[in-house]
Amino acid sequence: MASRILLIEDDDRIRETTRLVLEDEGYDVEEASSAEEGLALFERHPSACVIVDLMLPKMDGFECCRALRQRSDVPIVVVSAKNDTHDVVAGLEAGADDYVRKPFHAKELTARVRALLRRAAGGGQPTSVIRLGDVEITPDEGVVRKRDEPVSLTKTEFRLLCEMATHPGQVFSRETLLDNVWGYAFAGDGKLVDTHIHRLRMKLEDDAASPRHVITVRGLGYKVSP
Amino acid sequence: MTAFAVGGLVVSATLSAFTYLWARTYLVDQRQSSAVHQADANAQLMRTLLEPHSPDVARLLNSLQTPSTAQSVVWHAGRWYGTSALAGPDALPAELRSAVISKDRAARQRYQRSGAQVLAVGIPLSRTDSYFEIFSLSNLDSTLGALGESLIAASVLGFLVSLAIGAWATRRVLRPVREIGAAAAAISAGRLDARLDAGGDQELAELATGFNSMVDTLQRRIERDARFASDVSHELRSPLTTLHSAVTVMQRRRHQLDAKAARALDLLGDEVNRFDHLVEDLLEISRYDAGVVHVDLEPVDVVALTKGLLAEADQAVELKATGADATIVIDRRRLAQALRNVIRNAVIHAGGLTAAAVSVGEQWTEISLEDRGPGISDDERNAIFERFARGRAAGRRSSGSGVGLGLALVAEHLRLQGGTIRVDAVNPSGSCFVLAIPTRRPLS
Repeated sequence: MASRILLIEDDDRIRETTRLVLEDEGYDVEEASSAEEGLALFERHPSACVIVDLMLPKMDGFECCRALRQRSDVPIVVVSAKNDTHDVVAGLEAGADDYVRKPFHAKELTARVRALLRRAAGGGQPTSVIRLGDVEITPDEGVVRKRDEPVSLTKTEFRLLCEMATHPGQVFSRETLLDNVWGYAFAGDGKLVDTHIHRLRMKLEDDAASPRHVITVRGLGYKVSP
Repeated sequence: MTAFAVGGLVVSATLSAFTYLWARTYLVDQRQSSAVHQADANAQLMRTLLEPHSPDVARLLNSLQTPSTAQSVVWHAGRWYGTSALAGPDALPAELRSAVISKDRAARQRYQRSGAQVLAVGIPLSRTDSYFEIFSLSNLDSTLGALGESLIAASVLGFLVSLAIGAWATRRVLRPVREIGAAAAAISAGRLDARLDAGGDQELAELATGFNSMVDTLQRRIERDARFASDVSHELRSPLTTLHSAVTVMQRRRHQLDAKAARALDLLGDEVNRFDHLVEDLLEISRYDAGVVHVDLEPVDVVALTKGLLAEADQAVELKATGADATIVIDRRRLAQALRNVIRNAVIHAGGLTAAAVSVGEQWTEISLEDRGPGISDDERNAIFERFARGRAAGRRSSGSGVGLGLALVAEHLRLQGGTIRVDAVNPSGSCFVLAIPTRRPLS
């Protein structure tokens, strides 16, 4: 069965052509021209992936991401029309998994969506339980517990944590993580990793400012301490 | 400040010099008139005491009231008598002697005698007698010397004081100027929020307020320009996105089109891409103009990056890599964009790349991209990195010739990271673009 994608975009022409492209790639597409409409659609009919433009009338894309995150770990791709990274980082902090910039190439957008859906489907995960101090990861159930309390992670956060946790102590460069977690062959954006690491820390660490589990290795990347 | 101190020195030295000269004239006059008085009195006395052919002139001389600093000499009946052995005709200058004795008139003269200033006064007593008195002026000399020394000391003190006042005043006067200089430098460096403190002195406050309002205007203007670029970008990006997607959908169905329509679609696709690159370069370069560029450094494997970009542009050349570890600290996005622009330039103007190499050295990392195109003439070699330069394509818009922002942006991107770009000629024809960036290793 074709995966259904929710496309929230207020520009009619962009929305229509993007739908045509996604349909060509074999996805079912639901369209919404505002965040409110999109959230209502998602409520009735959860989709496999959501594409959200950051600049929307009334409720903007950031708000929309936060609202979606409250009810679901669905993969979200945000679309930014601005050149500055500030916008993108804010979108990622609001809960997005990945982003594309306008004018995006159809190829690029479908590649992002495909990578997210593949990750969401899982596969290739180790099955044994991993313990990191007071944090316990059960990969095949997709569950993380901290002092026996379940921690709610998005699929991308979970994959990022598993990727590093399977080799505790090993340093992962941002390039490697972009490659293995997001599926960028090269030239991905390191901020994608940084914001997700930040989000992981907010959820896992007692004090995100002085992390004990997810450690920054200055100038090299990140590691998970055993 | 130095000028102020020198001025102080000149003023105090001039005042001292005048004081000294005036004091000297006054003291010398005083001394002379008292000497003349004394000599006059002694002469009167001698005139009454001295008889023709006095037998004991020396005794008479000794009875005169003369201070120890004065000596008397008498010319009497063709002979000289003095109060001491040293006081004789030799102690008197010849002109004075002749003026008094031969010309029979009173005279005085100042001169040097055995290294000291003396004043001699001569008074004719009778046709055959003359009275001379020699006054030592060494007292006066030492007084004047002491005065001179204290005046010099005062001048030096005056100089030092004016130096100190000058330094203090200069610092006080120049402080706002320095602050303005520092603020201007900060603004040039892109910190547009730098302002002067408008509190303090009335006049300085006016200057500070004026300066601040100028910077406010400047900042508003720069921000407006930057916002304009951003607004334009948004306006252009939406239709471009639609165009891209529409072209993609049509390209999937290219086989259903007839030859003409297919060709038209290809042209459309190329032009959309070109438009896209132009907008991207224009926006990027306008960020440099607005001064809102921040370098974003991270460790990057340049060999992997270059390989990926070559594959992305369908350039089937082997990448020659030298150097052990290709991971260096750079601005990945900007280096990637620079490489993309150079590769695109080779594709458009030279039919693609023929060789590519990455060499990671101790100091510099060089990425060389070579083509076998028509090459670039010597005089064009630097011009191609200027905006809207067009190289050989100038004037004859060949297929996809860029408007010449691409290479200018490459130069800006590299300069931002302390790097450079140059282009070498290749035999028999072609160009080799060499992107050089400092080899910075990640901290470990």
